[in-house]
Amino acid sequence: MSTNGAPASERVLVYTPFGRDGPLIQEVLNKAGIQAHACRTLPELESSIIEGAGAAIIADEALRAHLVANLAENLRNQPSWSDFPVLIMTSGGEEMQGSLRLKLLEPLGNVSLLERPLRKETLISSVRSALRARQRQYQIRDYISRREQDAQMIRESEASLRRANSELEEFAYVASHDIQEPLRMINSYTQLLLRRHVNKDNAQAQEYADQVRGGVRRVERLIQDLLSYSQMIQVGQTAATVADLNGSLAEALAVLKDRIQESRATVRYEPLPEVQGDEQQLAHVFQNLLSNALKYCRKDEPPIVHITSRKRGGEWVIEVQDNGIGFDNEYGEKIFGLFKRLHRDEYPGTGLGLAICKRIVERYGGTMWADSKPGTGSKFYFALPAAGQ
Amino acid sequence: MKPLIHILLAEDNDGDVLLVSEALDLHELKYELHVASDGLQAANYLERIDSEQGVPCPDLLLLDLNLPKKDGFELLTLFRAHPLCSSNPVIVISSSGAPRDRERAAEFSAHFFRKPSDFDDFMELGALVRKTVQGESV
Repeated sequence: MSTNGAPASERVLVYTPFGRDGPLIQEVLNKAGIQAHACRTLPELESSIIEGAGAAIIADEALRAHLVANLAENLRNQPSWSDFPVLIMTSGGEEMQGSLRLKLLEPLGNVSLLERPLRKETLISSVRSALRARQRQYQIRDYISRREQDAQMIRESEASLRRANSELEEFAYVASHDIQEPLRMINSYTQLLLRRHVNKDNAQAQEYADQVRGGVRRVERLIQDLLSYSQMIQVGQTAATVADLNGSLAEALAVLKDRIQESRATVRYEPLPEVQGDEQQLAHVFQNLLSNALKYCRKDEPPIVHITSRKRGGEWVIEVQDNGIGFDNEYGEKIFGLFKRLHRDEYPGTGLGLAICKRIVERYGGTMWADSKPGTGSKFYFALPAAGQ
Repeated sequence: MKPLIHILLAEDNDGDVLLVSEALDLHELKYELHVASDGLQAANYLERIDSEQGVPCPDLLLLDLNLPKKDGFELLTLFRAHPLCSSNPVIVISSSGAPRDRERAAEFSAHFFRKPSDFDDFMELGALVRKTVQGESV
């Protein structure tokens, strides 16, 4: 029986098998604005508890040992947040000794005793207090379920991130293959055309063919850079190890050896620290920065690059300084963006180099930035956690 | 007189079919090319070997990996299980040099030739075919 629209979880169940106590208590509580429901049998009480209730009032004459055991079994299966309040109305101790009664009721858990004869105020305040405690339990229940939902959402977004990653990998593979295929055709058949159908002394045709080949090479480089960029943005594979930056730099210098000689460049560096990261990938960063320094050099003097490091808190800041053409600091952020190029025509490039460098550094918890003025050279910095931090 | 070699070429790109023949001609191989332009056609060829006229057991399989209908490795599996030609040489020709493809090709004891974008480099395929069918170590 429901007296108002409150949910079942807030009602009080009343079970008094003999006499008129049940309906009376129900009436008293209803008048006090508490929703009460009188149960006629023990099974009804038990099923009502399972349906949901705020508390139960039980007359102790109903509590034969086997009934207590039944009820206790039900209450044992409560979820971890639940501690169902049970109010026992005693008959004043003439039937059973106090200590014996407590022992009998112990399996029911959260039990309070109400001595009869019962004053209305005692009944109402005890029930209210039990319902308040029950409300707290519901709050904990809701909190736990929110936490579980959050955890589920996190699990789902992690799974979808993993899916997106592997799709990206697949996409990059297919894209590179399918773009390379027609490029090959363009290149091979231009050469075949030239050989079979154009006189050897036709210099202009030769020059056109060279243009075709140059275009194809550029797209091939672009694909390679896009592939390495897409590999950099795969998440969840950042096993940072100790990287000796001296090793990284040496590798970059080895790769660029010929270009450094050709441009009569000087590269000065002091012993570099060990940082958290990957030696191979950080070699790529040095290679890119050095390559930029060689590329964006002044026409009137050979490039000079100076590589230094300093400790700042728990990290090392590496500085790569050149004497090149520099750039306006207004573009200091933009040059790290995808396909951002300041000098589209004079200098070849894909516009991905610095974006890849920044990704590499950020992968290992670092930061990367630049500082320059036109005509005064550039300073590129990257900071990475010191090894063992 | 050089023996005639039968080559099954599984390749969906006409441009590459022509480049392959150019490479074979350049290296003066005496060959007959049986072209299958998708994976299914190649599988059908393998099924019909010796049961029909003009379907000889290939002395060499030239296999593009990225084929429609049935991919290269499916075909390679069929080829290696074939009662007549399972031990004949295979050269995988692919425009991707992906390490995972190279490794898988090696598991099937197949040679790997990455299709280069330079014409002269592509012609080197002829030299590889010559060495392979002559049983030289490659």
